[in-house]
Amino acid sequence: MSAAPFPIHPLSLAAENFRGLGGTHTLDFSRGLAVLVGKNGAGKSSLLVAVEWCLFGQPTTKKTDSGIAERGDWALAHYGATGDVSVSLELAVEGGRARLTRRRAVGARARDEDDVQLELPEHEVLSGHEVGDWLAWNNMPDWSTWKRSFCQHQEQSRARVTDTADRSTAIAAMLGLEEFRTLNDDLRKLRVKKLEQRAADELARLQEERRRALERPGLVLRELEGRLAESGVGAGQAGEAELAERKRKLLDDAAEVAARIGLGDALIPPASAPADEWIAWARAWSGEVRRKVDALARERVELSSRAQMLAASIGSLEPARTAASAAEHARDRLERELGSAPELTKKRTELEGERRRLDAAGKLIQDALDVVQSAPNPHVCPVCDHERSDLEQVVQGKLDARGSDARAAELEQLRARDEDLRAQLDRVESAASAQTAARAQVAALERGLRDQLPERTGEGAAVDEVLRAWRAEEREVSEGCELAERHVARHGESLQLLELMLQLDGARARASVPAGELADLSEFQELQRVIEEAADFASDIKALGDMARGLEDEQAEEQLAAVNASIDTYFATITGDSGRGRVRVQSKRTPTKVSYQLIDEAGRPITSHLNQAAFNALSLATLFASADSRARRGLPQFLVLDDPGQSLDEDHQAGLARALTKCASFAPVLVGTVPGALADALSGAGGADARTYQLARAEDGMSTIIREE
Amino acid sequence: MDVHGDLAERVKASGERVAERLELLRILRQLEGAEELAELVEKHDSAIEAAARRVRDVLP
Repeated sequence: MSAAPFPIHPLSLAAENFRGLGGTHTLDFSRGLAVLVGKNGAGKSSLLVAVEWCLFGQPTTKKTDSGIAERGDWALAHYGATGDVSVSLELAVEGGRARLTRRRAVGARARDEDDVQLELPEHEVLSGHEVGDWLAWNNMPDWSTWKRSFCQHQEQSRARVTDTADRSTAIAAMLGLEEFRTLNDDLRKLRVKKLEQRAADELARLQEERRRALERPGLVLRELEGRLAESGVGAGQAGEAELAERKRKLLDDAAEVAARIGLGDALIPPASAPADEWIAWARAWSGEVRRKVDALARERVELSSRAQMLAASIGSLEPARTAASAAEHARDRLERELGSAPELTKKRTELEGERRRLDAAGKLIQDALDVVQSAPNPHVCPVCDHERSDLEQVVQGKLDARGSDARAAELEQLRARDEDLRAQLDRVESAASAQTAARAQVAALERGLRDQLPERTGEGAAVDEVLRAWRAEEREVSEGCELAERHVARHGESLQLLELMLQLDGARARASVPAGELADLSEFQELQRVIEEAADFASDIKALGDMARGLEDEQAEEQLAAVNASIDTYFATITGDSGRGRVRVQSKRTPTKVSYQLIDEAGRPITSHLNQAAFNALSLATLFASADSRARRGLPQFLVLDDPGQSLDEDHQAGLARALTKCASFAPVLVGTVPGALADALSGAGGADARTYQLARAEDGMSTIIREE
Repeated sequence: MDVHGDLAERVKASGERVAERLELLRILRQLEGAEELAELVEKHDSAIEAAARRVRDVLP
C-alpha cells in the first residue's frame, strides 16, 4: 500500500474572534504536546473546536453533524467581534509549510459559504473545493473519520467502543482495512444478484410464452372448426372443393346484383383470381354496392317526389277545369237572363239620355219664365212680341203643369232603373271575371303540368301514362335497392365463412408442423450468451468481493497482533494495570461484511463489565491505538482531547498523562483540561515536554490566554 | 475503458501476492470502478432484457 505523499501535521494555530476568545490567540504544536489549562468556561473547548472548524467548517459547530448537543446553539463569533472570524492552521507539508485559513464574516447567513484558503509552499494558493480535494489526496481525515479517530469529546467517547458501526470502523481503520471495507460496500451496492433474477425471470417468461405459442395453433384450429360448424360447415366438409363452390356462388351472386343495380360486372374478379385478390375485392364489394344503393335510393326519392308532384298537378287540374266550365255556364245563364254587359251598358246610356232630356225641359221652362219675368213688359213675349196679359201665368202654368214633384218622381224612377241595371251589369261582369280567372287557373295548371313532363314528351302524350311509367320506375329502383341490401348482408356472411375456411387451411398447416425447440432459435442462443456473460460478470464481482474480504482477513491477521498490543498497552498505561491481554479485538464475519468487537481475556464483550473510569480509559486507549496505527502507516495524525481526565482518579490521570506523552512522540496532541493532576502531570510535573497555555476569563467576560510556558 | 475486462485480466495475473492484489483494488477505486461497474450491471441487465425481447419477437 502506498504511503501518503507526506504525513501532514499541524505546527501552530491562530484564532481570531472565535467564540468566547477575544482578539487573536496562537498555539504552538512544535513540542508535540500542547496543553490548555483553565477552569470551566475559560475557553479551552473553544480553542479545541477552532482546530476542527478550521479543518472542516460548519459541520463541526452544528448539533446534528457534530453529535454534541451543546453545539446546537453556538455562535461562531464572540459578541463583541467587529471583524471576521478567522482560524489558521500552519501545517507541515511536503516541501515546506502551508497555511490553511478559514474565515467567516460576522453576520454571515447560515447558507453563506466560509472563505477557505490554503497557501502551499512555492506560493501556490488553493481555495474552495480545491482545498478539500487537496487535503483528501494527502490522506487528511474527513469529519466522520476525525470524530471517530482523531478527537475525544466527552459526549462521543462512549460511541467509540459501544456503537458497533463506529467501533468496527475505528478498529478496521487501525487494522488498515478502510479501503477493503469501502470496496466491499461499493461492491455490495452493485446488486449483481438482480442480473441473476432478471435472467431467471426472462427465461421463465419465455418458457411460458413458448408453451402458449405451442398451444396456440391447436386452439386456433379448434376455434375455427367450431365457428364453421356453427355456420353449418362440418370439419370434413370444409375442403378446397367446398371453398371453390362457395366462392363461385359468391361471385355469381355479386354479378347478378351488379347487373340488377347497374354496377356492371367489370368490378367483379374472375373465379380464377388468387385468394388474396378476390378476398380483397370481396371485402371492398359491400362498400361498392352500398354506395350504388345510396345513389339509387336518392334516385328513388327523386322519382317519388316527381310522381307525387305530377299526381298532385293532375289531381288539381280537373277541379279547375270543372270550375272553369261552371263559371262559363253561370255567365251564359246570367247573360241570357239579364243581357250581355254591352246590352246592359247601352240601356244605362239610354236612361241617362232620358234623364238629361227631362232635366233640359225643366230648365228651359224655368229659363222662359225667368225671361218673361225679367222682361220690361210682362205681357209681351220678348221673343215674338206677341202680347198676352197672362203670359207669365201661362209660362208658370207650363212649369207647374209638369210639376216639380212629378219630375222628381220621374227622375227617381230613372235612377232606380239605372241602379238595377248597374247591379245586373256588376253580376254579369263578375261572372265574366270568374270565368276568366277559372280559365287562367286551368291554363296555369296545364303549363305547370307540361313543365313537369320530360322534355321529349309529345304534346299528345297522356300524362297518366307518364305518371304510371315513373311509378313503375320507382318500384323497380326500390326493389333493386332491397335486393342489393339483402345481397350485402348475404355477401358479408358468405365472405366471413369463406375467410374462416381460408384461415382453417392455414391453421391446419400450422397445427400440423412439429414445433421446434426454443434452443434451436438463434435469438435464444444469443440470449443464453448474454446471460452467460452477465453471469460471468456477476461471478467476477462476487470474486472481487470475496477477494476484498479475503484480503481484509489477511490484512487483519497481519495487523491484529499489533493492534491488540497497542490497545492493551495504552489501556494498561492509563489504568496502571501491569497485566497484559486484558483487551483484544475479535472479528465477526457475516456473508457480506466483517464487524469488530472488543473482548476481555474470557472472550466476553469488555464494555459489559467496566466501571466509568475503565470505560473512559478503554475509549482513550482505542483512540491512542488508532493514532498509533495511522502514525505507523505514515498517515497524518493529530489528537485533540477535551477534558479527557474527567471521571478518572489521580492514578488514572497520571497514566493518561503518560499515554498522551507517548502519543505526542509521534503526533501533535492538543489537550484541554482543568487544573489538577492531569494538568500538573502534563505541564512538566510529570516530566512531559509540553507547551502549556493557562486560560482564564477576563473581567470583560472574554476568555484569553494569560500565560504560556 | 473496459474496467471489467482489465480487472479480469489483472486478477488472473496477480496471483496470490497480497501487495499486488491490494494494488489492484486500489486501481479499482481510483478508477471510480464501482460507478463504472454499476453502469456495467445496468448494461448487462438491459442486454438480457433486449435479448429476451428479440426471442419473444420471433416466437410463433
